[in-house]
Amino acid sequence: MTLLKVEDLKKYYYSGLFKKEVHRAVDGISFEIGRGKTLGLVGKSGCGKSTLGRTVLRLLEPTAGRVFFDGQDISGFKGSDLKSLGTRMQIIFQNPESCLNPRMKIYDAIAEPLRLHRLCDRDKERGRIQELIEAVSLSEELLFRYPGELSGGQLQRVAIARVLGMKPEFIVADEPTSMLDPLVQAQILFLLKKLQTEYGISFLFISHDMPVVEWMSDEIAFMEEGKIVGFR
Amino acid sequence: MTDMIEKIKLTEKAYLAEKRLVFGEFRKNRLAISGLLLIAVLCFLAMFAPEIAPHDPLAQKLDSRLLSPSSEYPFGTDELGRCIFSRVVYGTRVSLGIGLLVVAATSIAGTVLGLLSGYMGGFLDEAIMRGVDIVMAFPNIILALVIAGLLGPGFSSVVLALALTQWPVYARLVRGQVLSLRKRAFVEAARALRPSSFYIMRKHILPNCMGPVIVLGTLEIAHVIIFAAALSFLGLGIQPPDPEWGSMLKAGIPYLRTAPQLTFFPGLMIIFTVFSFNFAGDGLRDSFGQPANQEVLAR
Repeated sequence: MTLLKVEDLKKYYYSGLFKKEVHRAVDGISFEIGRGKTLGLVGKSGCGKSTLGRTVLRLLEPTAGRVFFDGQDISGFKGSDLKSLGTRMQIIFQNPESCLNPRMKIYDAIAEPLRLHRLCDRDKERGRIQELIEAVSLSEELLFRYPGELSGGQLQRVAIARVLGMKPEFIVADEPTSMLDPLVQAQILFLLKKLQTEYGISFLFISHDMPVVEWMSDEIAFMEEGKIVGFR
Repeated sequence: MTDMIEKIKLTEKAYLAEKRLVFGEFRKNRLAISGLLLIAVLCFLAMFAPEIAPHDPLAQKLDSRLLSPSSEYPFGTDELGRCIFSRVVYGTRVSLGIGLLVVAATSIAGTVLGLLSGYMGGFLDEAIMRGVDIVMAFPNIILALVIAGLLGPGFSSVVLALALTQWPVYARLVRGQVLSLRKRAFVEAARALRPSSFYIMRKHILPNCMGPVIVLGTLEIAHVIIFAAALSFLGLGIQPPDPEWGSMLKAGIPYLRTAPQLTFFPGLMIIFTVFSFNFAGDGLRDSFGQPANQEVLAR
């Protein structure tokens, strides 16, 4: 069953004095991802992988094309429709050091989405956060520290726990392990795979590391200069 | 028992060490500490002016004009026989009051405008930044003179004139901060939760650009106090007989040779105040551990 379907998606950047120069970051891309499946996205740096991930989520506005999520065309979503997407489609970032607000304690970072979308009652919040950090095997004592006091691997786990709290159906993982050392990288990948089977999450897994993508993905798309040049 | 005490001592040591880390940078800086102490003294003077001042700062005594410092009049008397020490002490209230009021108003207004301009972009950004350009296109003192001249002299017009000329500094500083912050992953992660723009600005952007604003604010207090004294010196600020350091300087000019105490003591107070806020501000900047920001340094 298809969860996400992207049709001829384009994201152009115009530059120059008269906006004549066009940079085609994403140039007419189509693909589908099934429920609980992973599409790996491989390509050289600068080929538009990350832009594609953000455009699919509508963190960037597409120039043209359509994105269907769970059968609905989300390209024109506004207001509360768009807000409801917040819990269903999420993103995990490359650099764990900058993906958490340095002035927010870990507890608040994990609680933020729960509070924002009223996903649990105030009195059950503590228990829910306990569950979440256990799901990503972090120790409780880290909860009241600031991100600057944690290691890269720990921060990436926090980022995953934060996203997991919303029970998303689809996650864009933008090179989530490229800045971690190999051992931690393996741990995070195992964690993502385990969570995927447990919760039935679909991934768009962006990477330039072939073995990692091969291990994670059900299908792999190769990207070059804003276009998909092949699937496997 | 003894190793328990030893243990307690050790944890205490660790606690102190941690505390030192936070304040260490600041404490190491002797100038900053002396600046902070001077600020404390000035605040004390301003708060307890009626108790400290030996005389009424407005009471004229024409038979004791232009007296040199004595035990009765610690800083001497001015051309109308008023106690200079009392006037200087009361003047602290005016100068600190103007400094704090202007900096509070401009830092809040400038921060809000800078946030909106940097985060929202587009037309709002253009409009606010053109406003900044207009204010910055004039030399500050000229603009302040015009505004103070139009409004007529007095405390509130000095505050307004200074506030209207000083807000762009904060707006520009904050806008720059916002532009670099909004590209950071944590802001994007917050946007992926789809809250309102207002929420992101308040929760994620604002707390991360407060450091430089606080540093700039401290340095600006010194700047504003000099500015206010200059306006009063030129006759457009606080009017006699109200005690203000700038207007006291002006009144003392004809007596520079015969009775230098008229200009010496108010001048000294201005210098002390400006130094102390500048030292404290520099120390704060260093302890915030940020590279000497050009915008902050420019002041």
